[in-house]
Amino acid sequence: MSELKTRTAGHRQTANDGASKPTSMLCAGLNAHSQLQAGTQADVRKFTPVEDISTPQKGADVLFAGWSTTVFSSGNKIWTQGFQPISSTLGGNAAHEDIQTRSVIGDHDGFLALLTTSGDLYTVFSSSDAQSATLQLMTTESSPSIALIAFAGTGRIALTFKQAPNGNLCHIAEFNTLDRFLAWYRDPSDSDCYPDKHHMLPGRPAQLLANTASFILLLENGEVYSWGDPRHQSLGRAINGEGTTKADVPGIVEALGGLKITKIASGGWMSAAFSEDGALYLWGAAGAPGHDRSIRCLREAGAGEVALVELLASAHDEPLDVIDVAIGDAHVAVATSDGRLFVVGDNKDGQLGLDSAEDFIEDWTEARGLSDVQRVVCGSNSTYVFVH
Amino acid sequence: MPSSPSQLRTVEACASEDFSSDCDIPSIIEHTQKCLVLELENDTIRECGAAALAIIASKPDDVLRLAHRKLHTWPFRDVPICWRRLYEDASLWKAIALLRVQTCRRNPKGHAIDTVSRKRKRRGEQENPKGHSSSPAVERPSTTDDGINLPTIMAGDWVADIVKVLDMAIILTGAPSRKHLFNNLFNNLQSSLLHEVSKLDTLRGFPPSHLRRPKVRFPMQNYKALGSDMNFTALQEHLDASASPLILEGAISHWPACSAWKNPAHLMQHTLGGRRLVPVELGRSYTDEDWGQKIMTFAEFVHDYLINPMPKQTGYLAQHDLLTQIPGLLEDIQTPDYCFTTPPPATPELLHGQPTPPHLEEPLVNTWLGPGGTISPLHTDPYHNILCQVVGHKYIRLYAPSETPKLYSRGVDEAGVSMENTSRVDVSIAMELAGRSAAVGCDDEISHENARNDFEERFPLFKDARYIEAVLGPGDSLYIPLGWWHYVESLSTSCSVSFWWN
Repeated sequence: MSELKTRTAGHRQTANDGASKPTSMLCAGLNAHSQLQAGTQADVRKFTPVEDISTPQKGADVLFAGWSTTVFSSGNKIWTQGFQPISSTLGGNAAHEDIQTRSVIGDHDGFLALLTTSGDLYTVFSSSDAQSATLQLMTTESSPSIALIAFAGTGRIALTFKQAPNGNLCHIAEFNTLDRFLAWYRDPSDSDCYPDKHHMLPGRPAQLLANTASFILLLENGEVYSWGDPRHQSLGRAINGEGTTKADVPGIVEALGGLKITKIASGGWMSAAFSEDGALYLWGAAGAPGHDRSIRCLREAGAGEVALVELLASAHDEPLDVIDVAIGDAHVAVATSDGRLFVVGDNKDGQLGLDSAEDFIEDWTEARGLSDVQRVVCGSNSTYVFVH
Repeated sequence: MPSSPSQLRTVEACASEDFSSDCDIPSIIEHTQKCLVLELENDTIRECGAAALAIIASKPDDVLRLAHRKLHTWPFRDVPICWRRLYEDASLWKAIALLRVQTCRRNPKGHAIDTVSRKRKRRGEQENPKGHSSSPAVERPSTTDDGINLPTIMAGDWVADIVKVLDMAIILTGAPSRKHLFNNLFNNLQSSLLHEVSKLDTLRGFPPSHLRRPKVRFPMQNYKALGSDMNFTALQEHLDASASPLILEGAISHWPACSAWKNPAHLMQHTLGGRRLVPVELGRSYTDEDWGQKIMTFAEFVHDYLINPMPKQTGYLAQHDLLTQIPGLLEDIQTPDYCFTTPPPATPELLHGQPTPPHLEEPLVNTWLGPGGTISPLHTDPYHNILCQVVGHKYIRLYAPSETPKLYSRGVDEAGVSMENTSRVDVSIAMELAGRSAAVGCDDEISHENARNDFEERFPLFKDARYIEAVLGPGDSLYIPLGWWHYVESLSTSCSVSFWWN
């Protein structure tokens, strides 16, 4: 799954706004590799503070939360908790300026690569004894100039190329495997290494994400495109019939037509988007394939439909404005403008942080005891929450 | 009749007492573990990554859920084998963990309970000999510890817990590398059930049928040489000459199954007291909208669908390789010699849109067990078939490949899947409308007439399609040539075994 750090204007808060109030991080979920809480392998079933070893000026950020490893960053330092041991500084120790991360990719085994806003690609190299790993810069002058990258659960890679400041054509390349992408990145002129697919869309990409088997793209004008495996209503759009785009080619999610989407999230077989006026839309599989429990608000939505999610502070209120959303393998977490956190879905590992023994929560539930929630990030089986 | 599956068994010598003479758990654990830690040659499991393998022994539930997720990431045929291997091995580690709990409970010295992850707790957890509760009693819905939907089982039935884990692994992965370990575990669990008594032992057979037998107007050719059965050579000659359908009356009457399988208790005993999981088709016919499949324990299938006089819907244990799942039943049957003849090869016309299957070294064997009234809608198969009737009676109607234009094949569906080998005609309805079936028809003459006209409009050529038919009884076999259309309906509780070969 890929995690995107957005720096676009639409995103209201970033964890690196350390200059104002300090933020702290809480986590809940699968901890079998001690990736959430050191010293134990037991699941963390209620939101618990993350040990913060960042520098005092800047808060730590979660770059990637996977099944076995969580990757943190603070300034240019990158480190991990969990199975994969990484301790690295981007740009080497001589770097003075902060390097901004644009895209991060990884899988159940750990962190795989990171792309900065300046287009530098760092990949993870393990030492020969597998006891430690570092990030190494792959980018050279002849490297392709890429802006965003995403990695699906099927192993497919999608990326967008950097555009000229006034460019309006978005080029997307796809590779069947990470290795094929890296081979092309090292030698883009080798015809054996050419991308497996290439798409073009009008617009400027803002966010590119992947879930288990599909990709989802947000453009700066607020349009959302999706493509990949259409099973389980995961694309949120029709793929058969007149005027539709095939599943394996980026097609616009018409159900969000006319809305200006601020941010998207994706995970498992679900995706979500919220608009500039704070309305949240969710689509995909109500229940994970092969499981019998399902998220109620998605049960009625058919292929090509999206569900409008309305979260209320109490029964008589107006729906709250949404400021952030994140999706794990089968759970969703949402932050609202009044600082609350709402969660739904799989809780087998305690990832909803509700301190509940329930395996699955079908209806949106507020995670009480949290105040001033700013941001949320989900791993496949975990949830990280940033609060003031 | 027992009113619930849990009442099917009264555990006389409770499995939690002295079983050490019947089932040496520490040895099974040791043996299974020894095999699991040995690296297999060319094992793809390494491709699952070190993180999963690092905790597969200590946290098998978490690894199972990762593997389960990966098994559903791609369409099944595209799933990399490594994920099937991971699910398979994680299931075996989980079985070991469940067995360990039993060793700890039984050790009178009261060794400390293993650190069992909270996700491995079972319903109705009892106290260990030391008097500590081994886990908080939390009511969980009827799912495995990895959240996968599964049938309800008896509270506190540790054997059923382990069987569930093992059978789900076999169902989801086909057990690519560890079949011997699975079979070894099942055999050992069997010995821990020696004292178990089933209420089904009092049942002598299945309930009688109330379905009337259709009159056979166009009989099939029936081979009955004077005093002898058709032998291998004679069938080969028949295949070389005409390869037309042939009833082989009494051909399998020597099978022990013909008497043994009449008694549900026999099958229950071979399925670990009915604890083994089987896939059951629910609904009238697989061409109906509301048709579905469900995995359930054999006991639930017998109780709810086989001996239940008023089932909610039809349940049919159909097209399932029961004999590979339960090798102990193999001694009750015998693969007919006929399956080693050389039949005529498949041609595109006979395959009806299906791809040419590979040559089978061994026949594909399937078991078909169900109540009266199960229906297999009119269709063709890409193999030659010897259908053996073991228990009960079945009505079978066959249409030759030449009749295909009158049989309205379904063609290719919206998802691109070929249904060309299945007819759109519902033969049971056709029989009702022709007034030949005893099934409940329209009381009202007029609506019956309307229904008949509707049918005529949709399928005008069907009434001219020529067919042959038969009622097969216990001990009979039927040769169904490749590409011949067949419709099968059970007239009573029925068990058949089919052999596909080419």
